Amino acid sequence: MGMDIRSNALPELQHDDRSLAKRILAGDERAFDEFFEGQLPGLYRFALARLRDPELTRDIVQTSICKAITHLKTYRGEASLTAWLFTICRYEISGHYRKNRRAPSPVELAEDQPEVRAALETAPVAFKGPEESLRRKELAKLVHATLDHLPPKYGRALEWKYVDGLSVKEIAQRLDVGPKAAESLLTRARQAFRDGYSSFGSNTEALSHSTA
Amino acid sequence: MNIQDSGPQPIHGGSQHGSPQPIDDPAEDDTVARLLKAAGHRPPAPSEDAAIIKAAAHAEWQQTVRMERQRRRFFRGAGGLLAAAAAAILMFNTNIGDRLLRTVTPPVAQVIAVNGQPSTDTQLAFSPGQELWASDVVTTADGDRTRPSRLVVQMASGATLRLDSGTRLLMQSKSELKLESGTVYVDSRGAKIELQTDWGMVTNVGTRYEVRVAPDNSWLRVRVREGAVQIADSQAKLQTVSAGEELTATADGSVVNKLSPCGPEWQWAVETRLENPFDVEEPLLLDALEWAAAEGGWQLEFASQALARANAATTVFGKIGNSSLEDLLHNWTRSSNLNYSIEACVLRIE
Repeated sequence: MGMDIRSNALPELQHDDRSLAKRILAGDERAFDEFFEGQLPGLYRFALARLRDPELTRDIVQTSICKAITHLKTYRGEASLTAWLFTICRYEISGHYRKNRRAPSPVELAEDQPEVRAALETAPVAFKGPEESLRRKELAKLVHATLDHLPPKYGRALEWKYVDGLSVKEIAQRLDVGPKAAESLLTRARQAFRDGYSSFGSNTEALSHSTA
Repeated sequence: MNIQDSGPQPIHGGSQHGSPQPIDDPAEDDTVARLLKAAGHRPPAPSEDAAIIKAAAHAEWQQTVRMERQRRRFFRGAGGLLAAAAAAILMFNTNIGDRLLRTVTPPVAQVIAVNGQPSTDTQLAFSPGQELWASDVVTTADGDRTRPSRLVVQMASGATLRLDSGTRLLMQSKSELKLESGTVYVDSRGAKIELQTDWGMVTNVGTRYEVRVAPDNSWLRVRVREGAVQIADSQAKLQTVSAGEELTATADGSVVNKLSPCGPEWQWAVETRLENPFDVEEPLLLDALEWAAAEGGWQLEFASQALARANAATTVFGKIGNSSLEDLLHNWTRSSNLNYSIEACVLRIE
């Protein structure tokens, strides 16, 4: 049975996201920066993977973020800010293809499968089994996509720890929290990553089996 | 770890046949570490694109914050009105239905400034602070360039409308209006405004535009300064007019011409002022300059990013009175040891 950590981690994240949205609407410059710097890189990669055109990606991402800001007062925290933003971006991409009366290029992305999307929109949440035979590039993409669907500070903390090799103390300093809070965040981030990654993997596996 | 050596690692334990089950195993943390190390850093968004997106998002954010503050202020005022309206019902027994309606429904707009001579019809005279409800008709007197009669109305959605002389506008809701005749300049501030005319429905996609209906209703003119508007005729056929374009529709058809966003065509709207466009007495210099640039139809440009950053916290005196935009720019930049120039619709600060 999968471990479901939604019950203890998600309310906290939703509270953080709601509080961030309120601060942004109140005109807090630091909150705006936190939102923008946290969300832009993942959203950009998300759009680029689907559009494969840097200039168009820039326009779509810009429109998505601007729309999100304009409608921020309607954000109720049912999903994470990241998931909410990705949904807006997904609509913008569909709208772009509809307006130009052409179908999108077939881009097979595991995270676009409805089951995975639903799971990611309530991430972190438990999922099933991994894919075992991904090629290196695909694996990197999958790892990156998984990180992008996590709350931004989870993704950053994991990269700092495992890619940059920073200590918990250093991560705590960067996050402006105590070492215990940083350790706890890393634990939750690892769990969320495991769950998200496994979901991508099992879905890809299921797809390959169904088309075999 | 070289991923090619060992291949991708399953994160969960359990059988490799059938459904693998996740387990709580410290070794899994090593797997997370190996996967992340193998994948490396996520590629960043190109810095040039990130800067462009951030500038747009920041502008959008500032506008949203301004709009939200104005909306709150507007509705705080509306609350007091409910009590006043209830008292009015007790004092007067005429138009009870209308008065009662006004006690239970919020106003859709408020007059925020009156410029020039008031409406000649005393029944239709308006004053700043006056709330407007659905079905109210707002009019301005037939003035001319030397003796104009103008009004600024703020919708509950945050959009502002500037009415030129000789205008008759029916309020229908906080986002729907009917322009019966005259000229309206719309600064939508992100809100959707549907302006109905006998020529069709004009809906904004962007932010600043002007709609004029001839006194005899023989033509319609739409000028777009920023963003775009869509006009739907009676057959729901859509026509889009973009920034820098002017559409004129007559019985013979419609023509679209080019238009400067900072040309003299906009002068009447620039002269028709909000009494105080800022929420605070001493707004940030950047907010003041952005406001002035939007009013003048200029693109705001700093000589360098460093200069913009250095003045990020500078504040200026925000009361605008009857000063011209140029006078305000002169005062604001001089008090901050800056200079400004305007050329080809660009307001440059150095």
